Amino acid sequence: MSPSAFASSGKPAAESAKSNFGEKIIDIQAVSSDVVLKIQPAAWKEIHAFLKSEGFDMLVSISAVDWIKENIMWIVSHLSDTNKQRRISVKTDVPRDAARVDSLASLWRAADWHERECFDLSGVSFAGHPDLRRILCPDDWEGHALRKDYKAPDFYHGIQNNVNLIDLDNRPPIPEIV
Amino acid sequence: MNSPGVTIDRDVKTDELVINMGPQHPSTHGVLRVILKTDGEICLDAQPEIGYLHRCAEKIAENLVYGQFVPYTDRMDYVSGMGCNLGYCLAVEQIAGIQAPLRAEYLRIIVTELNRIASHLLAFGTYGIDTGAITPFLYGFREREMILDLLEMLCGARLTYSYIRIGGVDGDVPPGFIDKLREFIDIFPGKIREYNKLLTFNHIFMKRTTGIGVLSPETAIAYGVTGPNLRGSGVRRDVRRDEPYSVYPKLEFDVPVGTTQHGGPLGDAWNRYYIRMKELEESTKILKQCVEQMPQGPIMAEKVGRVKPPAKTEGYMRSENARGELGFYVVSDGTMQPVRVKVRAPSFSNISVLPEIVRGQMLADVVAIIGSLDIVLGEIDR
Amino acid sequence: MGLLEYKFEENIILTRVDWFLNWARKSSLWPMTFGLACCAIEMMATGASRFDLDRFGAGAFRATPRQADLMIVAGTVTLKMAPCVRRLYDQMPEPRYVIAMGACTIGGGPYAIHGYHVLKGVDLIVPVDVYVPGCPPRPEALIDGIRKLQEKVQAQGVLVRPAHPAQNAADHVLEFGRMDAVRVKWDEKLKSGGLTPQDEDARLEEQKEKEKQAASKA
Repeated sequence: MSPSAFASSGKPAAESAKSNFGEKIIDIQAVSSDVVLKIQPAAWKEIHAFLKSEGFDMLVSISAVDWIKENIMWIVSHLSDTNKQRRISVKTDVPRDAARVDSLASLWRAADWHERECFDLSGVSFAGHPDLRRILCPDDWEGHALRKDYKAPDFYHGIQNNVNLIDLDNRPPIPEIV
Repeated sequence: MNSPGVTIDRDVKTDELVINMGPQHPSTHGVLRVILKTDGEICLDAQPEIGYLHRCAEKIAENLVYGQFVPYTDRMDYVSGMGCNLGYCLAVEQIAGIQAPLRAEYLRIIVTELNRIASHLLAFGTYGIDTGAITPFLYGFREREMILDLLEMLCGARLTYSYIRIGGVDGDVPPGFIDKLREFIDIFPGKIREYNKLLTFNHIFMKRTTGIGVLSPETAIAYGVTGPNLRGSGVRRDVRRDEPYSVYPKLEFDVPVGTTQHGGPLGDAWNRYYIRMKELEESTKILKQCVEQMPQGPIMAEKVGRVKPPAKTEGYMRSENARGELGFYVVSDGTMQPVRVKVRAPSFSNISVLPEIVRGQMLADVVAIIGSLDIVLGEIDR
Repeated sequence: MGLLEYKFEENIILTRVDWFLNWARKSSLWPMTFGLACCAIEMMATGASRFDLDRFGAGAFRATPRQADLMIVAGTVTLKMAPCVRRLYDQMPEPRYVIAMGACTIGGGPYAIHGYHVLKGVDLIVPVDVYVPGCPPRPEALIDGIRKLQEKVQAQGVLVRPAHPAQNAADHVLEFGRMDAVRVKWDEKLKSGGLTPQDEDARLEEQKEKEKQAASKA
């Protein structure tokens, strides 16, 4: 069985969302794995609240995709229904320099860490998040690594971090057994 | 002495104390750091600090072509690397429209289930150490070495395999592999009984783990907890059965869930541990069926070549790894390199529930609770 | 005294203090339980049933650096973890030894080029005695590394240490935060004695030229 056999399981919920929210839902797309609701960024939280009331009880992931040429970022969430084995995905476009949507932390506790990760690596800020700080990189890290224009620092607290600048010849030779 | 009718004033005041645990601690299974707030011996709060093993895998994926990222998936969940290989390859195959041949699919399931057993054996052994028993570790590693020998016959590596490739698998089974696998399937159920005698139903171990770290099904779902941890709370959810992929629809197996027969509540540390022991049996069952059903044929899809999915295609692949629901979200822009590979790691969500289940427990039980979640830091931090 | 009692005649063993102390030291290397990533699983396998590190006297894994004299850096060191590694090393009592296990600890491994958050070799922050390559190294390789370290321990002086590059590095690394000073100028004596990468390059080039000349003659 191909993995996409469940891809259309979110279709009825997507259509009922469309009839409820009208203009706020731009498009309903079908990709290889899910039904994707393409929405306005302002309606991010209310549509998720609606989907939660529809039975999608598990927030699986939140991710951001950086499209530097188009100067936009996708913010994508994936939801699961653990009772009826349905899945759906919600996607919105935000400008790169003002990547900001409402936090889902009040709907799903799982959103807390997923949003912190998304903030840390992609630089998306989530309004209303209880504790939006870095989660993977250290607190004094600069920049957001998964942005396409990110450049890694050459030094971090005095540690050489650019492998091209490290003098390979000066690396210690494997110690000889005296 | 506390004679009847006399109450002793308990005026021993305790202060709140913040204790740092990790990142170098033998019981945090890697480099997890937990900041504990305690009142006497009671733990008031626990905040996990992660990122000490952040190896930038998602950034690396954007700089490599699709096939080159497979070895990095090994190193994410390094205890069951085959599961990560499978998840990633299925995700890429899904957006590139590649279908692996049937023999390859069976081989994939065989190695994934073998690796799941190896992973659960490691969890069994280290959980024994966490709760104060060294012997299970030696028993678990004894059988784990048998599995590693089998996997080494296939691909030459003991831990980081890269055996599953986009479009199929790396190579067909060497002569003698199936016989050795049959031998393993024959002896392994006896070993599981041995483990159960040694640790699972050991009175001291049950006293130590029953009733601590109780995770209710609602909390588990709200935090996105998956895998044996969710099933230990009584929710019968397994991606292999609910949203099956590969050849799982053709295989028969049970999805064990938590019980209250041991005299404790649903979703306690013992239940989470016991699900893993039950899954050893189920995985053995799956292996047996796979060996019988596996057809002859090619092991690699034709004309895979350089993978180049169409522009602006995306796909999210869910698969059941040893620790829970592993997701790979792959977005393509029509070139040979992905725009984004997002890894939804099961351990990431599983450890985020720690503050909920540690609150109000004894300090000495924190180690037993972290151990029962069976986390792998390589996957949490990526 | 059980089995050994009355088996040997009373006798005197003559040896040097150096040899005897080193023998005692190398026969009970106590490693620190310091698993960072994938290599830690292989380190555990080395200590478990099949490979049994105890045979070499190095199986008593200690949970605290204060009781350990060998740090096996098993796995990728990240920049967030680097201060902790350094501090653990500083907390170990002398004499202390470091084994860099696996490609990541040696030079960043597969994460060297695009891994913005990965330390490119643990020898940037602590001096390393033995490097064990592999990704991850097999348990046999780790055991070989420990045997190599034992040979090294046996050869060292007790009161006066031989000028060893790794030990010199320890003198340079005074505080974390000035880690760029760690790019140590290696002892010229050792360089002249050992084969450096430049020597190897020069040798290869010479060989190539000879081959070219031979080809042109033919």
